[in-house]
Amino acid sequence: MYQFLLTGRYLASRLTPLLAVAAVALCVSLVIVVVSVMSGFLDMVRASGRTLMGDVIITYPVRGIPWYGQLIKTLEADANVAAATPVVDTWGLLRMPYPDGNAKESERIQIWGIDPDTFSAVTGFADTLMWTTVPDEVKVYLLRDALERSRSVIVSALDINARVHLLRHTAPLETAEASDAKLKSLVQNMEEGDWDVRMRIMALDGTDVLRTALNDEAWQALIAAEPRLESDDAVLNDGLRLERNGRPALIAGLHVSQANQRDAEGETEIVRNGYWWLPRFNVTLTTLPIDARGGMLDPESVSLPVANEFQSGVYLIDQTRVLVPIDVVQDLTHLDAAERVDPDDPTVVLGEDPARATMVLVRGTDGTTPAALQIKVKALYRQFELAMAQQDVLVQPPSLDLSPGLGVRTWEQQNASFIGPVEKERELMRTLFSIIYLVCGALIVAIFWAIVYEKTRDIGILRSIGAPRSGIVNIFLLYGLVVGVLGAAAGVGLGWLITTNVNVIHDALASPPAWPGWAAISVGVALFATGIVLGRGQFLLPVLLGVFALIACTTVGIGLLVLRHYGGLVIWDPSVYYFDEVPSTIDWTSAMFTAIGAVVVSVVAASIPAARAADIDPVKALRYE
Amino acid sequence: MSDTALLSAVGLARTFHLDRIDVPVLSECTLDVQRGEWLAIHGASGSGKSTLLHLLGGLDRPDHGTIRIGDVDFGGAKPGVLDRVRAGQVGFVFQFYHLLPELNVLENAMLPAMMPGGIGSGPGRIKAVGLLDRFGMSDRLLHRPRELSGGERQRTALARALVNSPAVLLADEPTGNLDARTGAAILDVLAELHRDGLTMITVTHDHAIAQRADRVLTLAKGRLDTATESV
Repeated sequence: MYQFLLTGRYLASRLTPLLAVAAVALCVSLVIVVVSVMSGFLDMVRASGRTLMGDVIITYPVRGIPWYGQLIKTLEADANVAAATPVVDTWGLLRMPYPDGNAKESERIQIWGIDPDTFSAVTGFADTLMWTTVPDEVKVYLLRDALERSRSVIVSALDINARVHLLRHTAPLETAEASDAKLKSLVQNMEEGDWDVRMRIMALDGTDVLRTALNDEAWQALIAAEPRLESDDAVLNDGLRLERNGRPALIAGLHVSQANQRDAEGETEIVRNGYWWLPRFNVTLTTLPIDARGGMLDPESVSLPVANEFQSGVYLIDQTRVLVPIDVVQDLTHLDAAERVDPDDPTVVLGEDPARATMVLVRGTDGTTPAALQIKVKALYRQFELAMAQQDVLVQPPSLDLSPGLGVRTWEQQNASFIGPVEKERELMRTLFSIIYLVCGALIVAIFWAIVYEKTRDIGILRSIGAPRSGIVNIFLLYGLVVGVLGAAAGVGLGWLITTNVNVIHDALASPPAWPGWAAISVGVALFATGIVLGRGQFLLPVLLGVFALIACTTVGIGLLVLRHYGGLVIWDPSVYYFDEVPSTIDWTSAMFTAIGAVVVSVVAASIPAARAADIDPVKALRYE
Repeated sequence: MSDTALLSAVGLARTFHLDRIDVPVLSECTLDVQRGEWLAIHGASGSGKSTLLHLLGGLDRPDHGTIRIGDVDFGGAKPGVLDRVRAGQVGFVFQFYHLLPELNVLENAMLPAMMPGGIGSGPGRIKAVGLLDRFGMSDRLLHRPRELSGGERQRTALARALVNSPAVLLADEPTGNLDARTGAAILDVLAELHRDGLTMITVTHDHAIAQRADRVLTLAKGRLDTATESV
């Protein structure tokens, strides 16, 4: 009882325990912020990885799984499987449209042949498409492309009024102000080659402005050549269907094209103000197919228009992966359906060699964990194997028991190579920052030691009225517990405040306003003046504190102003970390463990000065001044 | 040594070890205190008065000898026994009051009641209020020690010493830090308590204070001079 009374009074009446509370709070908040940001980063990496993978992946690289359609039917018949989709995975080169001229660059890429409908059902593919509409700055280039492709058709569709309109808006001033009749007569004498240039000039004010100038027939001719000029969602639909103008098309990861660059704010900029927007162009895909015996065949190439680009959120994927219709990739890799002939007599057809997929991605129903689904998928694969064996087909699927290359993995196992390092990094940070506990403990020992020293006489008084040694120990343990609990609570609050506002703080550092700098300098000057006044020429401490405050505040203030002068400080550079924002969700599990750890450390650290307090000779303590 | 004495001490000896030097402070001190008796121990500064008082109150342990208060023998007892003796059998009053600065008057006075062996915080509060009221401190219950005069602090210390109704009150120079008038007032309070039957031992170097006691023993060079006893 008396321990509670004294602990409460000691806390309320002294500055020293508040320093201990502040030390614990700072340590706890620091650990919480660091671990939360790292956990958030890991979660974002995981979420992004899963987006393009589904829950479980069946892989059989290079040779591929035959009869994968049957396998998918077997999988989808199960109540735990929401959807499954085939993928043909290979590596290749992508000949890019840039630079201008004939010497184009090539990028080394990972090619995923997909069926867009089922792929969307398994993955978050649809949500990763980068372009839902054509960027405004790109439209003028699309118009130019359309005119280059269908100039004669479009120009010949222009009626006299459209030509007058175009002329009035693109001619020198004296001509532009002429009457309609005069312009009509001028139009009659103009060459057909002028009109596409005038349309492009007018489109600089926006394709809407051009639309008002053109007659319907001319506009329809233009749209037939480039539908994306009119329909806002054409580019998105192209992406979802993996086609452009009815042709199979390719979708590239956002950073496959080096023309897409991320600025410091995380926004994507297209080099040359939209000129190198990849969906404008065709690209050439080249792969090296492998024959049935594992030998290399001649390279296969195909030219494909680009339908869209995707952004999964994982730089490694967005830098290297392209998505192509599965039948195109099966052709390129020779994994398409074919007849199997007798090697001794090629005229004898032995049977069908079916199309193959190197991966089947599986998504579980809600509530089915990837681990549980993995077990289920293995069982379903065995069922598929058995069914195919009973059908007595010429080509049998790889066996789960006999084919070492066949794997059934969760998305996390499949992505272990890039999730693993981030996980290790987080644990390393957690471990390193846990050393702060030692600092926290040392601070508490030092502060409590000073408190015991200060309270020596009180300890003597308490012993003289019957307080046992255990009672003295309990006072300081309780004191440590309260300091730990208050510090941990304040630390969790501070950690939450910083973590949830980390982007605001970061943005403020990136482009600091001037007023905090001036405010800090003003506060420093005010505190210095206060110190001088309080010192009254007699006391050194207020003056010294005033000088320290002036140095600290002006350093912060000048630092902020210098930071502002040099354009701010970007710690979380999205072009490095990829994600636009610093993860700002607090990891409550870690926060709770950190808080509990801080309380335990506080009590354990307090036990050392507590033991010293209990060992003080009461007679000597009473004589202590 | 008398069987009827409330407090008996026999052959007490205490030597302090300072660095490598042994400093004998008390040797062969024997005394009895009867129930309701006021014993004054008189001696010069450094004669060992406070050390003797600390031994009698269980705050320190003798190198030799036995001490008994009522039925409790505690000369060489374990620390737990001494804690209970200090909480229940004796009440200390010190020259420098020794109040806890963070607690108010009432909380200081009732603090011993909260100790193991005390009367408990509820009864302690009632008892403390009564004692403080008796000592003229009823309008000062919520004041902090720094807001009190020396006399008021000593009255608070007296209330604290008596809150558990101890068998013996041990006072170490109770007026040593007070002016003559305030000191006399405190002596009056002690005399009143004595009249009510309280057993008291006061140590002092002041003859005038010693004369108010029933009996005076002189302590010189660590030995009680029983020849100087007076009644």
